[in-house]
Amino acid sequence: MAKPFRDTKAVYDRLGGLFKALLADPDYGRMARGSVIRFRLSEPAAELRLNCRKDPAEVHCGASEGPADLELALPATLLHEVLSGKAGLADGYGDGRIQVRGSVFRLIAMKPLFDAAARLYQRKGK
Amino acid sequence: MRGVYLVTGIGGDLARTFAARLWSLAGTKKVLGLAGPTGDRPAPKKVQVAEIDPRDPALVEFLEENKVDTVVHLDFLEEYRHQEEVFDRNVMGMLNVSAAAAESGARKLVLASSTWVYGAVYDNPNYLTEARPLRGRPHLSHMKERAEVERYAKEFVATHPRLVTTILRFAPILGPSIDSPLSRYLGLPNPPAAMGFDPLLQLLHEEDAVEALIAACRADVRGAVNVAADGIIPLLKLLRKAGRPYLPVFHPIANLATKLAPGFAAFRQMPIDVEYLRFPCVADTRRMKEELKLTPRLGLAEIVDDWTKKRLGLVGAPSGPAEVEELQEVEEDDWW
Amino acid sequence: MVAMSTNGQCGATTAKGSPCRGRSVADTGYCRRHQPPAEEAAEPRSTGSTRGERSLREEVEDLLKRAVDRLPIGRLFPALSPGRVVETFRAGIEKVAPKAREELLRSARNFLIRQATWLATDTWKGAWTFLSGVADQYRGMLQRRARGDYEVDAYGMDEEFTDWIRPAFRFLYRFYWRVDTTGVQNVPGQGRGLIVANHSGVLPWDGAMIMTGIWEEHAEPRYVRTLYLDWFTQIPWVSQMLTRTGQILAHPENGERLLNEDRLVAVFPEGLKGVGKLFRDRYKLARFGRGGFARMAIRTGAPIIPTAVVGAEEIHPTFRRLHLVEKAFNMPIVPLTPTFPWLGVFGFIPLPSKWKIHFCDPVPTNRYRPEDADNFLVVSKVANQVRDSIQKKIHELLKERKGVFW
Repeated sequence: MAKPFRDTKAVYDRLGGLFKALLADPDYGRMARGSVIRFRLSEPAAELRLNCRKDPAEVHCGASEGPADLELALPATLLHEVLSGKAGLADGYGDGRIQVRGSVFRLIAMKPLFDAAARLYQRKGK
Repeated sequence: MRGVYLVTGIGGDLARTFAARLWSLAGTKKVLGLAGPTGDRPAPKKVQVAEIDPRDPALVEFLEENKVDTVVHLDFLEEYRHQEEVFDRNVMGMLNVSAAAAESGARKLVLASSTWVYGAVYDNPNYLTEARPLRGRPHLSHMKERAEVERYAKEFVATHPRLVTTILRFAPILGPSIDSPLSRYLGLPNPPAAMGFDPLLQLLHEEDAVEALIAACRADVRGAVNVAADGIIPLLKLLRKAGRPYLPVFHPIANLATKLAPGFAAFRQMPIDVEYLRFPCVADTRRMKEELKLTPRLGLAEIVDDWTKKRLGLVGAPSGPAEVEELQEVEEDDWW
Repeated sequence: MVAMSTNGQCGATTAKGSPCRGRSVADTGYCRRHQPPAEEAAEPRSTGSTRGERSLREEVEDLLKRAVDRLPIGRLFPALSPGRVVETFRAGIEKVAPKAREELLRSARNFLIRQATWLATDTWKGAWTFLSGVADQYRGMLQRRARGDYEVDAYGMDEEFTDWIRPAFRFLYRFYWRVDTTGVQNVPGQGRGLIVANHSGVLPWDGAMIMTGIWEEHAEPRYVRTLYLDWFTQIPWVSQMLTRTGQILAHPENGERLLNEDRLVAVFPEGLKGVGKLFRDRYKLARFGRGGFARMAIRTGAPIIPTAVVGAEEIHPTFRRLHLVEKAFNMPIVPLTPTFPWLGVFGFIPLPSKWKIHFCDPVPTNRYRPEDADNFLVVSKVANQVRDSIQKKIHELLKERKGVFW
């Protein structure tokens, strides 16, 4: 299967842009407000930090320190599948491929946000 | 630089490896060795061993005859209970060797010591620099003797400024062949741990200890230098990674046991003082990096894996009856 | 113009104006030639409407299609098939005035999002999988710890463990003590900083709440390393817990090292005198030590952030101290409070007073040279400035406070 992301830069370009666009929207921005979400991706290794406590929300591509309200560690291909709608976040979690640090309930409450990200991702992908 | 080295205590593992490695240093012309307490180990090739007791005043003549310019004193026997002969050899030996080095016109003296001489005290800062006072209150004789040797070394350095004296304070050495108090502690069938305490430890691989000695011979560093691998590891993490089934013991009981040990054989199992199981004794290695220009090659994870693999034959597995027998064998063999 | 299709016939009208006679493809209602344009435009062309509105419209159409797709009625009534619904919607939205369009689209989207989340079975399936996944993850974490596979930073802090107990601290912060934190923007988001606060409450809960406050409220959340009294290193379990959550022994060398590493450090100069205060002396700042914190800050050029904590005095109001017991057992404090020692172990439960934490304007120290740290006058000046700042703020907060517990 062809890798959806060639390298770390490709991850940052696509996902970084995706989240920036998503959080620029006032409704979605409000949904995530006050949270700091961090994605730790592997294959290729990448780290994304969405700081929704700032206005406008800040998307930082690259390693970051400090506590996050929600942290997801998962392979980049899995994230691609979830955003493309081919897999559900729950399935990856059940397999153990996703590690969640922080409140799982917050993750569930943010499902609309992830759905919106998926929609945006699929649209941009075409 | 005449390139003539004298290594005392050549029978020990560290000394043997180091003496053999000395030939890799540029400018080495001759390597001499003084027999250590266990003379039955074969000396490394290209090292001329002399059967002179380090306490012998005739050492001065020996040094002058051979035109020794660097003396590396590694003759130290680590015993837990006080034995007059051992104490004599350790402390008097060091005094005599250092005086002989100064007297004979040698250029450099390298002494080996331990970072544990700082003592694990409850109000120790996280990283101890070389300037810190030595505050340990050990019960076991090897630490007491090391502390005494350090005290004399400090005086010696002050009174003999012409001689370049380097005191290498090694962090607890763990290695496949070297025997050290920490290594023996980990090798116990049930290493005791102080209940509710998890101090941060530092380690050093035996190969890096040898490298440090080489670096001390190469660079001219005066005074004490802490030598340790980068990073710290909590004691419980070390025990778990090495797969040792440790036993949490209430610390006043462990303290009492260590004090009573001379009288009761059952308590003689503890090779290290209880204070090191409670409080940190971690050294700052800035001087090692900047002046000695040494960067230890092996990190903590590798050190622990190496020790576990070679000593127990497995990685991270708890000790079973078979392993216990093997350990007992190993201990008797390496007891020196 | 679209018309209702009947029994498998294309519903479009040809260019000539007569109804198309082709067969419709599946249940879309149109023949192959007259298939409605794809929902997602290849490139959003600006057709007078703004780009934002166009993407919003696409999103709503997408949501609509999915919502209708999920419901089976689309198959029964071709008119309610996803494609047709989208067409109807599109036609409808054109009729709406451009200005109101965006508003309408947005509310439509929010409505559809809520429906999507609740109606989707994978939300419910997902919730269950998540919960069982949580159990698995914790089990995995414990197994890893038993093997020694965990990371610890240069001072012994276990980040994973700290993240794991955050919910407990969050509970205390939001519900138990209902802390009101103000001035959090005065805490630097990066670089070194020394938080200096008043100390009270027997146990170091105020440190924990300052730490939680920054986690929860700051725009750039960071870990704060608080320096604790050396006596705590001698207590089993407490010392372990403190180290694992990132607290470090209070020693000038440690403080300077941490600040030189550009970390955020919190100190409580009142120390024992602060926590051992009797209730009648509450909120009167004790002597701030010998100014060690000021020396630390001046030597490293770190800004000092004076912090006032109100509410911590009342968690364990101390009426008397049992000095004899303290001396006998070599303990720094043995207080007599309404709950301790009568209620035994429950005496350790603090009272739920209402807290206010305020971070005052930072006192910069970079105008001093590091050598000035040895100058008693400079150190004294800075220390007193900080102390006065805190005392003033405490008085202000006390005046603002309506009651002790609410």
